[in-house]
Order: sequence, then structure tokens, then C-alpha cells
Amino acid sequence: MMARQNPKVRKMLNALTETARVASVIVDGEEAGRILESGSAHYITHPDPEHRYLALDHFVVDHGPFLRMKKTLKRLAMLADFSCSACLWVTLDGLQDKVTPLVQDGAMGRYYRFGCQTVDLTPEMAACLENGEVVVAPEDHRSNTLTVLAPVFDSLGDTVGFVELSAAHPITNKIEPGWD
Amino acid sequence: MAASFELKAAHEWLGHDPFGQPKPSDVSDSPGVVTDAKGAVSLRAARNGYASFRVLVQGAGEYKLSASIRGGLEIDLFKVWYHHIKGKEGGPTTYWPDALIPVRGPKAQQLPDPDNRIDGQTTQEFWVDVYVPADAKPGKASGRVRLAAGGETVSLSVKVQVLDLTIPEEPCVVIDHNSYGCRFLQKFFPKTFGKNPRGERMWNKSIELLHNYHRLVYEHRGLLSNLGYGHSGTYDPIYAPRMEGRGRDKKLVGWELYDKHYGPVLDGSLFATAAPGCPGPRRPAKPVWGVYAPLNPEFPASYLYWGEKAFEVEFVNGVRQFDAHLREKGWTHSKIVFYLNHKKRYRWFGWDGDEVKDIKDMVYQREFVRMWEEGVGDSPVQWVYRMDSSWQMKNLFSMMEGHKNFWVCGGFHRWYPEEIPKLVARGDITWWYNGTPPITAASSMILGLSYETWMRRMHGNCAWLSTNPGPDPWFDSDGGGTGSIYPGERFGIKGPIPSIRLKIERNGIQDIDLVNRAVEAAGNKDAVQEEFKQRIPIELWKKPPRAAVELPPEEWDSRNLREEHEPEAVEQKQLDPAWWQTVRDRALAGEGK
Repeated sequence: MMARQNPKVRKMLNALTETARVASVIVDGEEAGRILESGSAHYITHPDPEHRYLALDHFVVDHGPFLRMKKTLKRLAMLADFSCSACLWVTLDGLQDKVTPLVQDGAMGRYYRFGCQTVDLTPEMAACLENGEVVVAPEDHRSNTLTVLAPVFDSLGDTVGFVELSAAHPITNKIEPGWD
Repeated sequence: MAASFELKAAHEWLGHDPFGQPKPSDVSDSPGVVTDAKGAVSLRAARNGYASFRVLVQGAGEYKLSASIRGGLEIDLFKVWYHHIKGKEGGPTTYWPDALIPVRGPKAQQLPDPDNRIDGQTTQEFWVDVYVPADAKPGKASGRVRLAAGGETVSLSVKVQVLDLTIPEEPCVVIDHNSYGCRFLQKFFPKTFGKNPRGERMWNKSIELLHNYHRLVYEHRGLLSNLGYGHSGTYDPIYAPRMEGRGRDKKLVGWELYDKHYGPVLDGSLFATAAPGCPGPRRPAKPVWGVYAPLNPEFPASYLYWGEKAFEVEFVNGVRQFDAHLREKGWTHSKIVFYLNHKKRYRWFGWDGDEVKDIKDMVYQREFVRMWEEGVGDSPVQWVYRMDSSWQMKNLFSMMEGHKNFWVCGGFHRWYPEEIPKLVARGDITWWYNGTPPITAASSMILGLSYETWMRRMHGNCAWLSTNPGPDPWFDSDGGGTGSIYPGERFGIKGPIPSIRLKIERNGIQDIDLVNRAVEAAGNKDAVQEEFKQRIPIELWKKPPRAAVELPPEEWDSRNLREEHEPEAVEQKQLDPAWWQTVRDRALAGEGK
């Protein structure tokens, strides 16, 4: 909590929160739903412990929607005047209390682990999905990132995922990974 | 008292545990012989290279071990580290020899070795390299390994028959040790970097250490490849200049760290000095075979503009600037490798650069190749386009014909005995990739990499990750399947240290080089390879599984193929641990020719 009082941190969190507000408006949940090709979701939601690369091997996307989303994330990241990473996480039918990363930009993500198919919902993720609100993630985190989550809605107004906006914490001086 | 110590010699392919027992996977029905009837070490060695053996020190207490040799030869001692591997489900910890700590000068040693922390240790293994310079006179040379303790000495006589045979300067196969970025160095060399490493000092330390990795591998007749950018396209500044501006005005600026990093590697001057702790250098200082270029979907163009005119302008102009810099510096002797490493499974891009699984993804790669070719034009820089290929390799072989291709093929290439020779015949550089055999496998298993490369008439092999021996390689080893090179910091060495696997691999490359030169001169390569096939039970080509024949690659997976596409070393259980003797005999049979 002390670090949050730092003016740099406050300024960055404000910028990320503003970016998240924009993201929650312009990131289209229907478009997000068109990225993953049929069949891929099945392997993500039904992991085979005997064949640990199966879901990765069958991860196939529709190039068009993926590219449009990638460019949207890149433009969102440009709204901040510091280096910022953006990642679209979505829920999938059959995926209980987990989300899957769908499109990433930048390497500063708080939640993504190399090669992961899903991650367990954290309290801030659950709050974002449940309430459909921008959520500032706890500052004190081993990733040394400042992170804000923006809800992503479909045409019915249901929350289908969130955009994670993460930046290096200015006090810890974390350097963006070249290769993690 | 020296009388309480004993020295024994062992073959390079026969390891022992810290209690004097042979490594189970090294026990052979027809073990290699390294001593004569009188118990002296007896070696036959070609010039311009190495012959090796192991020494077992058995006993207890303090001792000093040294070695000397005459006849213009040189002798290097390395103390073996026994890696602790914890037993599964509470089973006992076992100890496996691999990392090699250079022994420089008469340093006092202890048995049991307090540093290695093995209760009841009675045996300490040492690795001995005998270097035979290119100008050594053929004939006999003799030396000695001495152990001094309590004012007394025991020794082991070493006799070397220097053959009228010189190992070629350049290896005929490229045995590549791959690695990723430079951040791993901070974990392995914490004292070197200090707390909270930052800025110029951090990058300079990274460059210095990477240079030492290059030196170590080069001296072992191999290549270190170090990919600078990650799956996201980000890179550290030692791997590429900065990008400034956008569109037509975009410029690559700030080459200082790039030049500092790559200059000595690309002009060869790096190899005029050895890595810390290492003898030598003994190979001529020449530019490396090749290095990765930093080109990727985010460099030198912004992926924001993919599919729009700005992307092509930025990419082509950026490649031209990069190429112009290489030409200006005269770095035209090494391959400059354009490689798209990302995979869509990691979600940064929607298509595979590495190991294309869905053929539709090739739309992107082909567009990149078109723009790259426009950028490099007819440059004297030795650009090549590297494709690491597994699922779709057969389709890609034909699709990409006519480009400056550099294939690095996964294990599935063994299904294509007709296609691989065609690639080679049309001038494509053709490698395969694999994992490194773990330290528990037979010591000679690593020789399969150069053997299979040469027997399939390919140009090289890439061990996909060679610099990561795990979070604690010393007391909680993961088996070392991704690391045959160790950080030397805990032994006071500001650089990497070699391993038994690296040494055995080097000696194998020497043998292959001798055999290759002999058969090319004699025109009997087919006959010799056929002889090897008859005598060495390594399956060079395989019949593809049914799914690979009946299904398109998009539908293949480890379940229906019953085979893993990931590069894991597979132990050849039918191989005798001394299998390489067939190759060694052939290599050293060419004396006087």
C-alpha cells in the first residue's frame, strides 16, 4: 500500500485505468469469440495429462480476427506514455474458474506463464468478470507489475473476458523481458 | 600419505560414481581399452586435436594431482563434478559425473571432496585431455599423471602414439548448441552481475559472458547459437540496434552494443583468446559459422502495420540498413540467419514461424521471405532463411524450393529418406534438431548427434537448448537434458565450464572429420557408410506411423502419431556403450594418407 502512494505509481495506475476504460468500450467480445477455430477450445477445456502438448498442438486461430485484435491491443498499449503490455483473456464453456489467454502483445504480462493454456481465476479477475468493471490488481505481486483489468463484453452485454494491461512497476525497476 | 591413494585410468566412455562403481549405462560387453599390459595409459592420437581418458583417484585425505607430457604435446586436467539427483518417492540420492572443473596448478584436493558433499566418497574422477598440436612429430610421446600426498607420490604413465594424421581445421558437420537470450546469465552468475543489475554495465557483463560461451563451444569444435528475441518480438539491446521513427523515416540507430557483441564473433577475433579457466586457444581464430539475425515480426517493422504499406516499407528498409551495416563492417564470412521463432500457441501471433503446423500459416512466412529477399537483394552478406520444421516439413520442402533455405528438421525427418538428400543436392543447408542426452544416459550417447548427421549426409545438428543445466545443477540436478555447458561461477570462473558430454562430443566430431576426409579422398563414402550401418544398430530412417500417412499434418498430434514431436533425446537401448569404437578405428586407420 505504501508503494501506491508514490506519485509515479499513482500516475501510471491512472493511465492504465483510463486505457482500461477505453479497452472495455472498444474491444468487441463478439470479435474475440471468432478468434479461436472450432476444435481448439475442446483441447483447452479437456487437457490430456498423458499428452501435455495436445492443446498447444491444436491451437488454431482465424487469422483475420486474431490480427485485428492484436492491432487493437497494440493501439491500446500506445495510449500509455510508458511501455505497456496487453493481453486478451477469455472464458470458455467448460472452463470452470479459469481463463485462457487468446491474444498477447508485449512481454510484461502478470499472469501468463510460458506455454500455459489456462490460468486459475484470481480474485481481481473474478471481480472483473462478475461485475463487468475495471479492476486494479493488487500492487504487491511477485511479477513486479502494475496491472489493470478491463472487462470485455459481447453484444448482449455479458462479460466474456478481460484485457490485462500491465507495465513494469516503477519502483522495482523491472526490465521488460527479452527472453524469459 | 600417497600410499593410501591409488590412481586408475578409465576409458573416456566409462564413467564411475564417487564410490568407484562404473556408471551402469556405460558398462559394455566389449569395453574400450585405455591401458597397456603394464597399466600405462596408451593412446593413439591424430594431430591438431585431442585424445582423452579419465583418471580415478581412490583413497582418503588431502592430495595434489598434476599432469605433464613431452614431445610438444599439452595435457589438461579437469576435476569431475558429481551431480546429485534426488531419488524419486524418497529413494536415495544418486551421483552422476559430468561438469568439468579446470585444474590449474597444484591445488590441494580432498577426498571426500567437501564441496561436492557426498557421504562416504572414496573415488574422485578426473578428465584428462591430451592435446596434440598440428606440428607435433609423429611417433611416441610420454607423460605422467602424478598424485602427491604426505610427501609421497604415486603416478600413472601416459604413452601417446602421435599418428601421421591431421584432423581437418574445419569440422565437416556443424554441431550447434542453442540458447535463448542473455537473461539466464544473471541467474547463473549472480556474483558477476551483483545486486539489481542495470544498464550499460549489465549489458557489458552479458556480452562478456556470452563471448566466453562462444569461446568454450568453438574450442570444442561446435557452434553456439544464441537467439536474441523472444516469442513476443522483444529483444535486449545487445541483439539489435534501436528503431527510431516510423514508415519511410524509420531508422536503425545505436549499434554500439550490437557491434560489441557480434563484431568479435563475426570477424573471428574473439577466438584469439580462450574462455576463463580454459587452456588454449588451440583452434585458429576465425569467424563463426553463423549467427541469428534479430529480424522478427516486430523488428525492424512494427507489426501494427502488418498487411499495410507501412509494414513493407519499414521491413524492407530496415533489412537494407541491417545488411548495409554488416557489409560496412566486413562481416560477410558467416551465415546471417533470418529465423521466425514464434509459435501461435504462445498467443503473440496468430501463425507459426517455428514448426508450422497449419499450412495456411505459410501465407505469412512467404510474405516475410518475399520482403526479406527484396531487402537483401544480391548482397555479399551470407543471408539464409532458417525454417525449423516438423509437422509440415514434407510440404514445405517443395513449397520453399528456390530460396536460400536453411532447414532445421525435427525427428520426423527420419520418415523422409528420399526428400532429405534432395534438399542437400539442391544446395539447401539441412540440419536436424534434438535434445542433449541426460547425464544418466550412456556417456557415448551424445556421439549419436554427429554420427546421425554424417550418416544421413546432413550438414548439422542443433541441440535446442544447451546452456540451461537447471536451477540447481549441482545438488538437485534435473538430469541435464538441456544443458551440457555449466556456469563456472561457483568455482571462481567467470565463464562457462565444459562437461564430459561436451568433451566426448568434440572427440567424436574429430573422428567424423577424419573419416569424412578419408572417404572423400578415397571415393568410398557409400561403402564405409554401409559398413557402419551393418555394425552400428542406430536406425537412421524410419517408417512413418499410419496417422502420418493417412492424415494431414494439421490433424497430427502425439496421441495419434504415438510419437512426441518435442526434441527429447531418445536412448538407443540396443547400442553398446562402446559402439563408437567402430568409428574411432576407422578414423585412426588413415595414418600416412
